[in-house]
Amino acid sequence: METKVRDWQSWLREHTPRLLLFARAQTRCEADAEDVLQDALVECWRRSKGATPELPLVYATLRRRAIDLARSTDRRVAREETVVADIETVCWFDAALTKAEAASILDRAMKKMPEKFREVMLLKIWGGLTFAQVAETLDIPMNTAASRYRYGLEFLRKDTELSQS
Amino acid sequence: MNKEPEFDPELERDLRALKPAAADSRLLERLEEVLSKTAAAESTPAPPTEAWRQWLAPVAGAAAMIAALLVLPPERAPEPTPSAFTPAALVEALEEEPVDLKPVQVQNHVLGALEEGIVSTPNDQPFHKVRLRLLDSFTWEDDSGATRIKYTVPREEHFLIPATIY
Repeated sequence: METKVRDWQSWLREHTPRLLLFARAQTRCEADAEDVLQDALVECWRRSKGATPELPLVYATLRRRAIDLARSTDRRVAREETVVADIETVCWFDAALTKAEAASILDRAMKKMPEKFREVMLLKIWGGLTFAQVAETLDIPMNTAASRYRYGLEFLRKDTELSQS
Repeated sequence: MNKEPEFDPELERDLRALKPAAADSRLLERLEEVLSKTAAAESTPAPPTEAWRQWLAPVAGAAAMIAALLVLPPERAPEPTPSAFTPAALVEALEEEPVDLKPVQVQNHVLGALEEGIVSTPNDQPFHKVRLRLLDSFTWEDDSGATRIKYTVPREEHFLIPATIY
């Protein structure tokens, strides 16, 4: 059991940033993102009986948990009250000095992007999933995943060009 | 990492170069603590008698209600006193004398099939992805046939059927 806990600790350090990015995009509120991530990880821990789980399973669980949370009326009201502040203050990307401007532009563009394109983009680019895994995670056909990804890229290309002009 | 199509290689490369913001140490500590606690809780088995009671109570309750309906038709059964046939009393009676149930019937009903489009395997072989929705029902009965329990479980099956693309 101790070995499993150690495996999880290193797994967490490696994957938490990308999982948190997806959770942030699914919930749009920092506190909810952290809660949903925690719940999903505990569920995956139980399902995998302590072994480190496959990433597509964690993303799918995260998404389902976020949908459940959004259906809860009282949490939704609370979230709507905090979302404006969070969206302005929490940057989703690593704003290290050398990439601060690019991170800021991308951050704004991703937050403006329609959700159905954004979730595919996040899973494909930063989640490291294949189109087949993205399709399975989001429960959509693979061709739909690919076309949403292409539209997402076009959106980013246009938006970042506008931002820089 | 994989042979996935790239639609805008330059932009995709630039995007991959930007990493997600690091999770702060407070969140990592919180997650590690929660998972450690979960691990500790999972490794401590519940007392066997408690688990047995948790399982038996709902099953025995359901069995008792069904048995009462099947065995005691209103016109022949003596009028029960209010205290004799409360659910709690029936559960207590069954706990003292367990019912030996055996599986007698398993049925699978197909509720529907959904074509979900074309997917391809890593070696580029295309497949039709079909999702089948099923309902499995299981019937258990005791030797006398007086007690019967039936439960249904919804289930999904995913099939990949080789496809030819022209």
